[in-house]
Amino acid sequence: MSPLLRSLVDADNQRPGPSSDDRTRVYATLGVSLGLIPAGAVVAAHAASAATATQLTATAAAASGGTSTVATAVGAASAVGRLALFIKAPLMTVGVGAVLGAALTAYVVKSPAARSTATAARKAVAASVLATRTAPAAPVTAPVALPLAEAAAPAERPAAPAERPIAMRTTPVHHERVAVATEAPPLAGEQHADDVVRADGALTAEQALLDPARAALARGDGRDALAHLELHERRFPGGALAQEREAMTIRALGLVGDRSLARARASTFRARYPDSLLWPMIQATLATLATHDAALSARP
Amino acid sequence: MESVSEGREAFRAIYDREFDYVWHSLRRLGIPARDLPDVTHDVFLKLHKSLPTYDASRPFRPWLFGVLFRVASDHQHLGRNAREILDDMPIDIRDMSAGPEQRAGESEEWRIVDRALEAMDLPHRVVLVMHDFSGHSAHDVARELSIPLKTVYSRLRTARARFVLTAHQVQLRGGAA
Repeated sequence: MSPLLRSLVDADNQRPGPSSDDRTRVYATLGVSLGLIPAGAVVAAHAASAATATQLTATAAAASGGTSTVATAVGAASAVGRLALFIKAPLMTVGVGAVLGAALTAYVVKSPAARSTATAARKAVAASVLATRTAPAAPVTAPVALPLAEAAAPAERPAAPAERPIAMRTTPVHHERVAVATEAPPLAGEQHADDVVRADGALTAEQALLDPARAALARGDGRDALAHLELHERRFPGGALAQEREAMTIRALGLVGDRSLARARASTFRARYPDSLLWPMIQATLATLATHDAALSARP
Repeated sequence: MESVSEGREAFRAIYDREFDYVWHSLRRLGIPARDLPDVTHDVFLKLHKSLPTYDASRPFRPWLFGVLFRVASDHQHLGRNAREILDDMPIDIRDMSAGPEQRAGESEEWRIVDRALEAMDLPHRVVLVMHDFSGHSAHDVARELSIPLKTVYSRLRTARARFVLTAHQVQLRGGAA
């Protein structure tokens, strides 16, 4: 090795690594991706009770054991209210670690059947995130609306309250890795209650702007949807739900016939979030646009 | 059977121990700073899936490098595709996707390293990073990248020559790269 190369390698080894914040956020996101931590639970962690670490382990252990793993894990992942209480922000590294550890056990140590847990649980996460966002401080006894979770595991849970599920069934998007990356409260040092409340408030406000847009999309009113989406974009350009907003915007643009802009935004989305879980949905929108184009060009 | 807590601690320990290694390796392979959290996440996700296939008689880090290299390759492929699409777009839309350059506060030497690594193709770059930066043996490089040992040595020679040449050029230009 030449002296120059040697000295540059040495210099590069002195480079600062990732921050502890990076470390914690990636770990939390990993837990969500593995389907064992609803993203909303991480965001809504302020309601946590320190006494629940053992409960968490118990839930996690249940998720990793036995042949009914899939159903149990979906139940565990969907019990947002409880998880929200478990993962106290200052203890998040520990709390998330415990859940993820169980995920690993279910996923790696256990049988292949257990691995489908993650897939099933991910479906539940998409629903539970929304439920948590609208009721971030849900008390431990409150029933949590989880229509998608029930779709994933029909026999697992009793009927959920009707108000949210109806809106949520029209939800055109899923999101799993959205909230943690940008909305997880700061973890280093003491977690101040008002910080968490602020983060929660922002998320609720974001959700409040996107809900009418979602409803407008569901009834095919792209113009109305765009009005709400633009509002969200102005107020929360890099918000926790930015990916969701972009996916909805692309769909709304398609509805109002602005197909070239829809495509342009889809390309931007792809570049910015290359492995977003929302991408398949956007692809579906693009496919619809292509059908419209074909229909137009076929006109006499 | 491994207990829940053992599994938990094992993964947590791997994560804690290897996080910086994964992060720096991805950076050296050319993952942009803004994408490092996402790609690091993907590496650990992949690691999580691949752990059952890990042969414990092999050294861990070279194997991990193989995992992260495959994830990074996928990412770069996607990145290229995205850029090709973006080239057809109006400038203002293209700019929306361009993250801020991460050069502020970096030393001259780090900048030279970045430039010199950027100047070579991925097959050479990965061998140089794995062998000279990460300190893995040529045998480990060959095994984990599934290339013949002879190829490792020839790529390493070429990569070192290119790296040093570019480094000299960047130094001479005094930063006007």
